[in-house]
Amino acid sequence: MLNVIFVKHGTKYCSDDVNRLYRSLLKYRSEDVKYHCYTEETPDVQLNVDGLDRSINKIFIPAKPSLKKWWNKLSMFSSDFPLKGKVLYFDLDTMIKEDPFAILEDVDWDALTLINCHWKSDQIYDRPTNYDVRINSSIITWTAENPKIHEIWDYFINKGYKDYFLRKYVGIDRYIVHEGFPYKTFDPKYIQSYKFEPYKNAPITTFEEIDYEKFSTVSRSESN
Amino acid sequence: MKSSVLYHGLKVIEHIYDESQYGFNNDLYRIKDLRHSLDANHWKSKEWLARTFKPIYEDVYGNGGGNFYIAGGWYGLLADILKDYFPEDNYHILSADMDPMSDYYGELLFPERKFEFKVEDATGELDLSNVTALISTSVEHIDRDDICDLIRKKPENAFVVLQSNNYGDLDSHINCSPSLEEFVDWVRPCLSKGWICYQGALDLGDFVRYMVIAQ
Repeated sequence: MLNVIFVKHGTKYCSDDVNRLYRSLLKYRSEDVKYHCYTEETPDVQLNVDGLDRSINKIFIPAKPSLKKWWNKLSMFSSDFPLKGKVLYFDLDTMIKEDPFAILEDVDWDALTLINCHWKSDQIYDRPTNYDVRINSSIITWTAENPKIHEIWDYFINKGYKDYFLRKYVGIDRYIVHEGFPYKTFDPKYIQSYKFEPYKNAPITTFEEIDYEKFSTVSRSESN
Repeated sequence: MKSSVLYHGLKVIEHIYDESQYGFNNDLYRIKDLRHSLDANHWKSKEWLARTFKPIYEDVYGNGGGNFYIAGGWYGLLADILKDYFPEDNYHILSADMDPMSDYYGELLFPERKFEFKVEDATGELDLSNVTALISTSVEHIDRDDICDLIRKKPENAFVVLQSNNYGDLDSHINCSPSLEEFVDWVRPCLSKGWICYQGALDLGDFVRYMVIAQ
């Protein structure tokens, strides 16, 4: 059984964005897979009028510790996170063009695997004071029971550095790399960056550094 | 800014740079973080706190000393400023912060300090039975129920001095208040006596800082 999960926190993305990505994935895999959305427990969710497709399992983001936006992705690595087995995560600003599950063929399930931002070739990224990184976490795979994965969350939350990390790092990608957690990257042939590889063909398109309006326009036109 | 703090702040920058060259610790971001902790906005906010709090405290406790506990004291600027306002030996000031490096850099920044540092998570188990004032200018970083739990640990007659702000753009600011009234409204039910001695706002340009002094 494969777990596919999305995170919806705050108001930037709506239920339609979750449903659109869910349905585009469902076309390629509907068996031996469970789809989840990690989201806040708001009144509309409790009343089941949040607009999320009923087939998507909701996992609620705990009220504490309070985290903003993408920082909630880190808590998926907690040993308390209610999933077992293999997990495939997608950012909501992701578009599916061909079978995205081909990406799993080369995945090492003993590792954390993220996107290789090979287009970030500037040497400025090698400077010790430049905390930018050459990976991104728009797509992630891991195994839920892996204690090495749990360390990523434990170190963030239990060592007293949480607030310092929130100031130091713009997001979880920088935290993972600069705090020295091991990771691997997907073969770039499966992923197109809409901004940095506009002419590439790949099963999955990511929209990092693209504003929501542009992503929304493109993804809606593609899905129609 | 006091010239001694500026001098020692520059020395700490050199120390961090040397550490990055030869030492175990290679964390140049500490330079920025230390600089931010000494920002003019922090000086103004903390001076405002000490200046406002002193006469209120002395009205109740006279000049009989006290134990001040600072939750989320960062690198110690608030403790240092408070010590300037309460310089007598019978005022004990403890600056606590969960960051395991806060005391290390704080001691470098304030080598002549007359207050204490402690690495401690203020949202954990604490004994505040001896404090006469519980102070935090880091309310925007701490969950509301944790602030209320903290307040409940102090003696009934101890003061609570809290500052928050409306600067919600930072990832670490998880408990901002849109207005002074909203800030006071959620703090009041947590108070032992429900007595608000002072409430005020300080416009710092990009954001507004709010303060409540209460019991």
